[in-house]
Amino acid sequence: MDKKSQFIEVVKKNEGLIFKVVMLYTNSLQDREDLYQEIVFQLWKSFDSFAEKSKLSTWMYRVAMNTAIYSLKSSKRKVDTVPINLETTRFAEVLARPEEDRLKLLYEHIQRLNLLEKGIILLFLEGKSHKEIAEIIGITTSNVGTKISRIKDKLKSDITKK
Amino acid sequence: MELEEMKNTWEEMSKRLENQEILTNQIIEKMTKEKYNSKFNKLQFYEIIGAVICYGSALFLIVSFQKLDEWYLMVFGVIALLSLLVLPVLALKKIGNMKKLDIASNSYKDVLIKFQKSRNDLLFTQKIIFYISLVLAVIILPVTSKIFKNKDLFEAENISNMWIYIPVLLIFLFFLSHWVFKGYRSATNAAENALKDLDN
Repeated sequence: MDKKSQFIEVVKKNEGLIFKVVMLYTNSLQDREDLYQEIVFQLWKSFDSFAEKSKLSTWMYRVAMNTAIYSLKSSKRKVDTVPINLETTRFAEVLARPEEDRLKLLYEHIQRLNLLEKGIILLFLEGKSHKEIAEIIGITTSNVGTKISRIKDKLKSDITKK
Repeated sequence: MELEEMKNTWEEMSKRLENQEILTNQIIEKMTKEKYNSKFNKLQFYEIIGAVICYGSALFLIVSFQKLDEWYLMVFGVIALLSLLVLPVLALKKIGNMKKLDIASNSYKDVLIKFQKSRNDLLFTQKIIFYISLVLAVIILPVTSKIFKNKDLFEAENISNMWIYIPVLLIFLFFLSHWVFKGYRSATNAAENALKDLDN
């Protein structure tokens, strides 16, 4: 299998991962499509350097989350997206979800967290171990535990305020 | 919503997503090829166009420099020339620095720190560019007036034009600067809050 086909298979297998990162770091459909494409582009660019030095998922989370930080809106300047033609509609339909109340509430809570907390909570919800969270985020394992319990407190007080 | 409840909701969504197939092979292939999609490449493209315009204007100014026959017009001409040469270098340098970041091998924390630093640098460069543009905007009128119309705006019969031009220009630049810096601040603040948390 050539490199491109290998990459396509990896992305297809992990569409959900990219989707979840995109949902946490954007607020509009257009931003989601922009970020989704930027992440796939950055993954492709670093596919060679990945070379199985770390776990595939660790590499993917790292590239996706780091790209999300760098794609934070710095101004209202609009950058055109690559047209994905007819398929865009299908892409948009799925991105337009979730409509469920609980999921909406979950996103609302996460949107209130700062960038560091957002990264940690995403990996926590994805069921990553403290060690893996520490590796992706770049802090110590014990610090991960401290941060998670702080986020818990923050979420609790968030609910109390409501 | 408690953290455990959040986790259950998240797992339900993850299960649902496993069955979704949004991307086709063709879409993924397009995403890897269309390099101009990258925001920085796009910005760089606009900056290069700006640089060509600046250097073209600088060349024109050099060719027409002998028309500036008064000492103050010559001084303005030199300042305009230097501004036109420096502006594109500053603009392209700032984007080049942002593109250098290795997204794949840096940790999330490192990217947050570098993002914050590059935003600050960008804001600083943007301010310098803005002030140079301000100077350029003020001095370019007498220079071009002399080159194109052979009219010295500082001569008694023309000076009234300058009194209209300068206040209008200053008002315009005030609103422009407000618009330019506002966007940068919001993104910088988002990273700043997260960085404060890193130290705790």
